[in-house]
Amino acid sequence: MLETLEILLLSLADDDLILGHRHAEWIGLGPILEEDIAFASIGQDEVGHAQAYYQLLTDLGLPTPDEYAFKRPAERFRCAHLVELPNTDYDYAQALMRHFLYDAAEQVRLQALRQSRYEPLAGLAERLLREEKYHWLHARTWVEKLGHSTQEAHLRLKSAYHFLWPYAWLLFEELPQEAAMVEAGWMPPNLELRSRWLELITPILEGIGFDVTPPASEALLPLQGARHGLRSPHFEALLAEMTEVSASEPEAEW
Amino acid sequence: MVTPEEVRQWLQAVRDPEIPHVSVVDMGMIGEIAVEGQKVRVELIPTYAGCPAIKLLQAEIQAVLAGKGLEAEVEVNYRRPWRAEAVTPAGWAGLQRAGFALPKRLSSEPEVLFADVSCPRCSSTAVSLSSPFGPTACRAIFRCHNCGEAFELFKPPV
Repeated sequence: MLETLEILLLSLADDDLILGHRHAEWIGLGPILEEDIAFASIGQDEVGHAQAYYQLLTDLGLPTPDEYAFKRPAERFRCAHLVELPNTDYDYAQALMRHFLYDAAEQVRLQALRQSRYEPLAGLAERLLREEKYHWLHARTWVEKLGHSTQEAHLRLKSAYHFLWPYAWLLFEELPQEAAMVEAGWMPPNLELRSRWLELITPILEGIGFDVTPPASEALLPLQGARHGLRSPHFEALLAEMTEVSASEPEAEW
Repeated sequence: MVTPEEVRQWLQAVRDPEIPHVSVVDMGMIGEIAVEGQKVRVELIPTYAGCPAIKLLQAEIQAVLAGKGLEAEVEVNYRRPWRAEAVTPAGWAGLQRAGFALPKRLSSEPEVLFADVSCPRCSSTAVSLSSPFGPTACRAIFRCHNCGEAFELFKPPV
């Protein structure tokens, strides 16, 4: 069962770690000072959350958080492709829409995991949810504001939404060995989480005039496999940058 | 024989590097303390999981207790949520001295927490939220429309 637990916790941790890294790229480049600080702060939270998930594995005799983050080959990461996407041209609409779709998923995931029968995970989910509520407030406030703002803001947000939609959908791609996780009472099926996520975001997206329909299967097909270790073309450069300092002095104590 | 209560007293010397007005004890970050001979185990409960001060606090707790001849093991517990209810009256007073606005009542909804805030400088309630995120995870930025100053609300996880 340890291997199954590792798959579950790594999928949660890796999503947070990699998106935390992407959010941190906004430091010094946010469109306004408050947003610069917000993305930095949210990113710091996400990296801290990743560390806490890895720690649950460390407690069971598996590698340390630093080893998971900095010494793992690319194919052993389990994050969704949504979080790997680069901040191309520093498009704030896209960063905001990713933050919105992802943090809605976190709300749903963490609410469910509070009832996990894997008790350390239930306790951690309870803690993280209390921090994450601020992320969710931030994301939906800005999406609603900009969605009702100028035509340019609306269109930029909409094009970000269309681009990100299939990636966000696959946050809930079935995990390897998911049946065993559900059987053990560790988590509800991802299909069920996805429908709760849709219930949460649909009124907000429709409220700003966006259609919410499942992505076409031909849009999803080429993006599948992230939870099995298939990395997107963006991941290698991200990992090289993220591990650059630790790799320069592998034996150093941080 | 050293008691857990004595250890707790000694830990009053350990302060959050970002908010030196408040000790880790008054901040409600010290959980269980178990003493066995010269060894002591201290449970440290971070306010926010991503708080970068944790490693430093761990080391300071060990140093303070080493000064008392104790060998301390500090277990950082992320599985237990930190609760603002655990902040002592001295802790709230310290946060106020540090210049923060304090939540008037605790809530599990950020909107409620942010709705009822007064300026720590002029006490005006004509204030607005600039951002739920500030220079550290536990702060939100507000602006006062009466005195014109920006200020920070101490923002516990909800």
